[in-house]
Amino acid sequence: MQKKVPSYPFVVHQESRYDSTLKGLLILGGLLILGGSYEISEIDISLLWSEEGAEGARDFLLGLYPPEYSREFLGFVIKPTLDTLFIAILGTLLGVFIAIPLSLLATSSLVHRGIFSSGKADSALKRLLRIAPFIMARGVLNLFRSIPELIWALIFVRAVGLGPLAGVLALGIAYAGVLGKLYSEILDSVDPKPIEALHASGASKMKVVLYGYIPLALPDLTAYTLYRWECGIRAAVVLGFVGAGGIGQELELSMRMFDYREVATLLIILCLLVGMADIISGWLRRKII
Amino acid sequence: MDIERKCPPALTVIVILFLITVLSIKGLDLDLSLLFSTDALKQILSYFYDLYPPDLSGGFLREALIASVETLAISIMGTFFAIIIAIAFTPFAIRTMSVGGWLSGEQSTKSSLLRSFIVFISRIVLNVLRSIPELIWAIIFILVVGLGPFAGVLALALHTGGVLGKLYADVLENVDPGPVESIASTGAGRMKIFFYGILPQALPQCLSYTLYRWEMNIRGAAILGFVGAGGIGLLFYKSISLFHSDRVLTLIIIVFIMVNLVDNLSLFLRKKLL
Amino acid sequence: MEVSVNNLQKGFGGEAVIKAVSLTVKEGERVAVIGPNGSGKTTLLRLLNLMIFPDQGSIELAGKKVTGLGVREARTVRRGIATVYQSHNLIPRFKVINNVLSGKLGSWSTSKALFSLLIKPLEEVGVREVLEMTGIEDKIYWRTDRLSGGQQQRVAIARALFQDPNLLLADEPFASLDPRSGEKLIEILVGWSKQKNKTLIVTLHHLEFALANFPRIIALKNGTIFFDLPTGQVTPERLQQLYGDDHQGA
Repeated sequence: MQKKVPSYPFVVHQESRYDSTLKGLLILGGLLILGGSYEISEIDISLLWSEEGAEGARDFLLGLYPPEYSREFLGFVIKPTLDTLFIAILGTLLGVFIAIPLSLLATSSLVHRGIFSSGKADSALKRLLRIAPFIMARGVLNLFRSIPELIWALIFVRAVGLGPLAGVLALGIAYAGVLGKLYSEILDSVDPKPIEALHASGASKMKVVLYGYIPLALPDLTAYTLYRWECGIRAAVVLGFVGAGGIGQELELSMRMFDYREVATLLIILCLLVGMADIISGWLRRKII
Repeated sequence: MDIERKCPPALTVIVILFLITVLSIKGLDLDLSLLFSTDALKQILSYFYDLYPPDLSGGFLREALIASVETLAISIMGTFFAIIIAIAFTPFAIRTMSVGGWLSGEQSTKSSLLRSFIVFISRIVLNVLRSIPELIWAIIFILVVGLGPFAGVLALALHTGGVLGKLYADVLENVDPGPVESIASTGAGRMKIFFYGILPQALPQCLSYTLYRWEMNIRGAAILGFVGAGGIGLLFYKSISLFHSDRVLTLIIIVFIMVNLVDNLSLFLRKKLL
Repeated sequence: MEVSVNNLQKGFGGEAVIKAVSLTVKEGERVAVIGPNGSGKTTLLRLLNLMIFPDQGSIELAGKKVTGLGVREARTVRRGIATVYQSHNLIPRFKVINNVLSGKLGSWSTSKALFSLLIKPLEEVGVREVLEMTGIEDKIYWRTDRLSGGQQQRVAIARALFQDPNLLLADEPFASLDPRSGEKLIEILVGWSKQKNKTLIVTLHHLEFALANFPRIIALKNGTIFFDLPTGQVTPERLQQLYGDDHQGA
């Protein structure tokens, strides 16, 4: 008979065997999914080199040059460019405004943890009243976040009519979802010790948020918000395609008119806009530490 | 210290944000009274109210489910090709590796200048790929490969490729130099330094971010159909344009479920991988 | 504030940390709580400032029972108790003045708190006063994370004094400082307690500090009171028994 085997390596051995089986299954499943996806999405790389495809690509690429630089067109696109920027700013700000209250409700350390509870055992009803806003806030954030902003835009175009307002609302709702989830995750991960200190001096929940959670989390909160604003510019362009104004609407028009020279100019403006937002937000992020 | 005292930054930030908001509202000519008038609110609410009940007829559900499988497939293939594009660009976009970094020996000024130039160009290409949203790439690729999901795959691949390429390069640039140097000091070749010193440090973050991008691509793939690049977006566009409100709600529910499934799967995979 | 604790018990996850502790501290008294790691000192303080609630037993502060209170009532009681922690527990990004002001949050209205934070810090005179007592009045508008560890602990003490408490608790406030700065800070706390005739309860790691500055020593071991004596009666043998063999003499 074998001597007594120490239990620790034995367990590890078991686990690693289990892991490798799982890994094998995962890889096999992954390959099957990749193959299936390949079939379903009708991928045909040769199309890229086919005569037709090459022609389409050539027409488009050659059509881009030279970008439209007539003074008339450049003067004309200033307004849509600014509109895109404004939609991104307002949409992000609206998102922040909606996200702040929802994220506070959805922050579990503000709801669940003992420091805000009393010594008394809560009745079931009381506990439900405390948990219900938390669950609802999470649900709302999840819904806002799951539906892409373009679909929100289509809905709001129907509800408030064509124009930038639909874009702002769509962006605001979608980004409220994204930011709200991020905010609550950031707030949940702040250093709990200063929070306890504030709480121990008898400060109410709202004041602990103001003097504890928010200043502790501020650098992360701003960094993610600024990053979202960068994404918001790209999103605002796309929203124009469904009639929410801005440079996207012009892009759609020029595409439809096959005026690729204008398309080139608009794409260059888009790249510059995104690059500029990148630089500004990078600078601001370094400022707020 | 005195300046800090007279001009509290919090107040300045609030004032600036307020001014920006006012400027943006003026610039866009937004009529906010629209939002606060009861008629408009009624109109908005009645629109949302009309969405209910969802269309759950068998024919439409089947159509929607087929479209959502296609959406999933597009997001997976789009992410897959994006990884390939990103990996292809990464070696050229890393500064520490190409310019006097660990993977290079001593170099003449001329060749190091050339390398800086290559890095510069690669970064610009990645930035352009990244700056152009997938929907615009989709329109462009429809011109090349025609309507259908393949155009959607290519669109996602290029945009996400730009995002991932920049990220991979940044992560690889910022690995902890300690382990890398200790491997380099044993006289290991470039490939060994890369695979034993740099890659193991960077891999978890790269994988995790790639999965995160896949989550975003499922949302991206859901809208590509608006321009005819496959997936569930086409049904959305049709239902909204034709005022089939009940179908819109069905589609919202399906997208919601699909996105949450993918999010949770990706969360599970990220936990497994790390 | 008189502190009276009767048969206190508290456990975490089934493990008893405080077992049947009873003690009374009179108004204006200064007490050092000593004991090896894991003896329950921190838990005792957290019970006293109502951050956690006992499984059994009762706590009376100034003759009023404070166990089994609702959220709001507990908050009101906490306003009269200030706590200084081992790691200063300040907000690093705040200016010193805002950290000190946060001691009074309990008695401020939300709008006042908001105004002070965003527009202009209020009650500057009072803040200067407590900062003067702790000796860093000149740093009032500095960002807190630019101060040294000892200076930050002075800010934390100033915050506690600014709260104007009837009971001041300190949980190993000098464990992460060098002995000399610790000595100065303990003088500040003791001086405040003497001058205002307010109760001071401090858990201490450094035995010398405890013996030199406090008239009464309570020793905890394994969640029970090992001894509770006037400082004069604390003998080296008793300390030897308290800490066992692993104690190196502070």
